[in-house]
Amino acid sequence: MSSWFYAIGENELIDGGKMPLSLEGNKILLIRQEGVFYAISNKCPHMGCPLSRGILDGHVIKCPCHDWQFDIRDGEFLSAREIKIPVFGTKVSDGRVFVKIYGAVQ
Amino acid sequence: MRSYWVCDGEKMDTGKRKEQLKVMYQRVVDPLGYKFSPDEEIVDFLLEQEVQLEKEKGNPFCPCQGLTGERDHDMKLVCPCIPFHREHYDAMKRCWCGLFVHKSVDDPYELQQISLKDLEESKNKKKKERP
Repeated sequence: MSSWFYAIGENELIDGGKMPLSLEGNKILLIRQEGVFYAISNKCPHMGCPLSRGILDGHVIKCPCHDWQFDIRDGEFLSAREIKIPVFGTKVSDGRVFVKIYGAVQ
Repeated sequence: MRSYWVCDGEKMDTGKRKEQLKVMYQRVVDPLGYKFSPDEEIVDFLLEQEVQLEKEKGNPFCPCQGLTGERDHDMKLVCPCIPFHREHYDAMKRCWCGLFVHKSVDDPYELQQISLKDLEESKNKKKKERP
């Protein structure tokens, strides 16, 4: 079961920007890159560091603690594809950005 | 950067931090096909060393490998460092310090450390032997 939850207004995040959010108890990092919104878990699977403090380079985000790098499109850890950060669906409707949360019912 | 083993402004004791590291590491090594060494004494000892390193240097580095002071190099030695040395460790069925072993391993003392130099030489030899 999953539901869409309002996150932010489309214009609240510039291209190349990132914004940490808490939606339905999930710590999420919303990123806008090349006009597309991506939503990933804000916790690095290594030691739980907040990826929102990391560096975004194209579609790759680098964790601020130990430099682990993840593809924001599919959540894959670049050094070991078996490790992934959770990725959430996004959609833009009427200038509003929504994030799809699994296990939540609106 | 805030130290991530500080909890609510209070420093955690070593035992608690060891347990916390164990839980975090388990989540990382499991999908890579590794587990903690069945030798609980060595696991406890190595985790203790890592907590000391974290106190001194800010990160739980591998206790058995040398740091250079260069971030690119040293970050690849933060435990669990398996993702950055996969081919080498898979060949040994263990990580360098022996904290983790392949899931198939029952007796960690059957395994040997193989230096990276020896591994490369062995690979090159095999290549040459192929018809």
